[in-house]
Amino acid sequence: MERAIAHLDLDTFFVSCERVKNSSLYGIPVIIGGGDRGVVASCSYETRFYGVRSAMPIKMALKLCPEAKVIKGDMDLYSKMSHEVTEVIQEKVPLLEKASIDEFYLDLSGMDKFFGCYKWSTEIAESVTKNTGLPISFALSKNKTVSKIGTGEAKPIGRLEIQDQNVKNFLNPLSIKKIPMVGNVTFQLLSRIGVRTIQSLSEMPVDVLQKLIGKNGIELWKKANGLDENPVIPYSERKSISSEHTFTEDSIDITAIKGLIAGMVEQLTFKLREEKWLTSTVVLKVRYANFDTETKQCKISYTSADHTLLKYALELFDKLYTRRMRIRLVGLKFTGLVHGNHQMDLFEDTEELINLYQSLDKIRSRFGKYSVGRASGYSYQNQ
Amino acid sequence: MIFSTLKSNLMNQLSLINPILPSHSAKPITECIILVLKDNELTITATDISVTLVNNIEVNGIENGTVVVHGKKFINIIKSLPDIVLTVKKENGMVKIISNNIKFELAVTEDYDDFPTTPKNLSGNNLIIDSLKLKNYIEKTVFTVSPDQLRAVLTGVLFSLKLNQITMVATDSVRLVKLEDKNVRYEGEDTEMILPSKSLQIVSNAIDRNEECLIYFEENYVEFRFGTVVIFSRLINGKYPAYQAIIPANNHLKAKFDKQTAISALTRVSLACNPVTKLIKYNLESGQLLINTEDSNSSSKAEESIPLDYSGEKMLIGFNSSKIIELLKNIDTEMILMEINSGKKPVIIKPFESTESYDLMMLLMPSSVDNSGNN
Repeated sequence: MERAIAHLDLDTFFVSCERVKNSSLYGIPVIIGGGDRGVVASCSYETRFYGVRSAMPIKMALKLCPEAKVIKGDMDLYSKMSHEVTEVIQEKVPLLEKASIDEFYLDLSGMDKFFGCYKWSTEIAESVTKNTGLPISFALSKNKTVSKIGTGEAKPIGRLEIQDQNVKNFLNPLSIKKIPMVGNVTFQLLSRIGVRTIQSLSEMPVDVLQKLIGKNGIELWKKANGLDENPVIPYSERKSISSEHTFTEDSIDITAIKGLIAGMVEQLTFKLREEKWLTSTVVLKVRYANFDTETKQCKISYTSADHTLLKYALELFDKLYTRRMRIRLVGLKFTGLVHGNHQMDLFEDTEELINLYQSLDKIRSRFGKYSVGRASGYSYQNQ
Repeated sequence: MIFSTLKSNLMNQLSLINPILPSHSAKPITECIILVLKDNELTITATDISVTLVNNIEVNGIENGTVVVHGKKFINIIKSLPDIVLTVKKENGMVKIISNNIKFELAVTEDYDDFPTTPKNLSGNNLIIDSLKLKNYIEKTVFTVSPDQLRAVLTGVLFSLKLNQITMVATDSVRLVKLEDKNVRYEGEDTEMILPSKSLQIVSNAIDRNEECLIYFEENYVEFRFGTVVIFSRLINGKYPAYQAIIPANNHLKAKFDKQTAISALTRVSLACNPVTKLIKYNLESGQLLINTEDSNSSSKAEESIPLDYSGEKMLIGFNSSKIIELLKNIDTEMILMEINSGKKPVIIKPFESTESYDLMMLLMPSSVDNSGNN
């Protein structure tokens, strides 16, 4: 049976969220991204006109578009908005995959008979905009790849339906860059042999392509031909929680970095306990000034206690930080999550400590997550 | 070297050695065993460096000598032979094992010098204990040790010695077992040492009849001598956590229940519990103990109530079911006494009116439960 897959993508999601919060941002160029050294996380269509693109250093973006207003991102707001959007869609759609914070795949196979998939998708997009104030684009076709490429073409606030017989005509003239799998390296590799449009890619012999770019060759060729059998995978459970911090200036101040880690541990454990998770693996990441990135992890018995996790995190940091080089980024991740209750430790958990955590969590959930914390983690909360 | 003996005679002793032999070792020589024949006495030695087992057996010696062979291979060959007289001899760089019409040849490992030196006999401080008692004590404690190599001291069992008294402690930081016997023979100074659990298991495995067991120790080593066996082991370095400090003194709520009933109930109820946290809840009230569990991931729940001798206030405590079942199984009396303070403090579990020669006390740390009833 032919499938009907819609891909929904919120237009300039971070910018749109900021605009919902602050209406004076409508119509002016806006860039979301952090700090002097940060990169553009999202930018409005007004700035794109000047050549600003996401993942571009902010400094360069401001050279291109000096009048742009730079806003430091507020991930909490975005995940909250994203959650709202998910709820609106989920209410109506039987099979939904949340591919990222602002992208959704819907499987509408078999619904055409009753509702008309295009009309139905339009209604969903409209109800998202109506309920949350966020502009959204979508494309409807027979599989995920074609829909995703379609949405890219439809933006902003676009709607597009690519019928089966039109798939080839739609894809053929487009640049191979539009295929989600094609990154910079693959693009250069292919354009060097003269393959620039999806049409020429789709006409290449598969085995040549496979020799050229390895085992992904077949997959890429299929996509170029509009073939993609990947299913829409419904909502997946959280697998890890993490936090990262890039320093404004590369740092070698170990005490401060350890304080920062303490702050991260506190925030993450609060989240763990709030959502009733226990973690079994601590992963620490350090990026040095020269962009060398190293990670180290350790497996522990299930816990959500600050002091235990902090001990392991700092132990990992001591093991990982071996070069006398300045550090650019520190990241902490807890994975191997499982729902459950904390098994107290005979030697480490006293009743006082348990009560302390419970009280801290109560204060945090009432007055905000930065309202109380360790002194050593204080610098992190002020970032 | 030539000797002959009954297969079962040799195999009995070799089976003690089997658990020591590492399957893959950084030092291949430790996969080997040494056989030394002197007159009618055959000495078999195996080591994994941290623990060494030396065993003497009586055989029909014909020609004295020494041979080093691959342990597992040798044992498997002997195991496969029929239970009749077999002859082992070293000839032209090969070990030949002959039994009636069966003949094996096995290469001899020549680098005998590489074999980790067998320990010198320790002397001085020693503790004397009946071997079957020791076996029992080891079995009652060693199951509790922690597998966490990051906290090496917890992977062993603490032996704390005082005048004519031994206290053995093991913990995995969630539960703790303390076993005390005030009727052993020890006249040295007060001392503490941490014995690796693997070594203790090998000791326990090697004990099959009651005889006097002598335990000698030095700063980093311990030696067990009983019957024809000598087991020599390294001690774990480090300081054992202050376990006395966590044993609660004022657990005022006392509950008494039947061991077997509780174990069967717990085993049944735990079928429905969360497979990772294994949380089960103990609801104590006067006259009855309600054990229940709920796993929201698989939407399963279970409950069972058993009679309870208890007169305190209503209580709710969460436990890891497999940890509590293991503890209960290691108690010898029919009734069990549980002493509780609160759902956030260690609970004491001990035999009720024990007639044994030792005092046994177990601690179990609860899992936190939220009273809302979820999870």
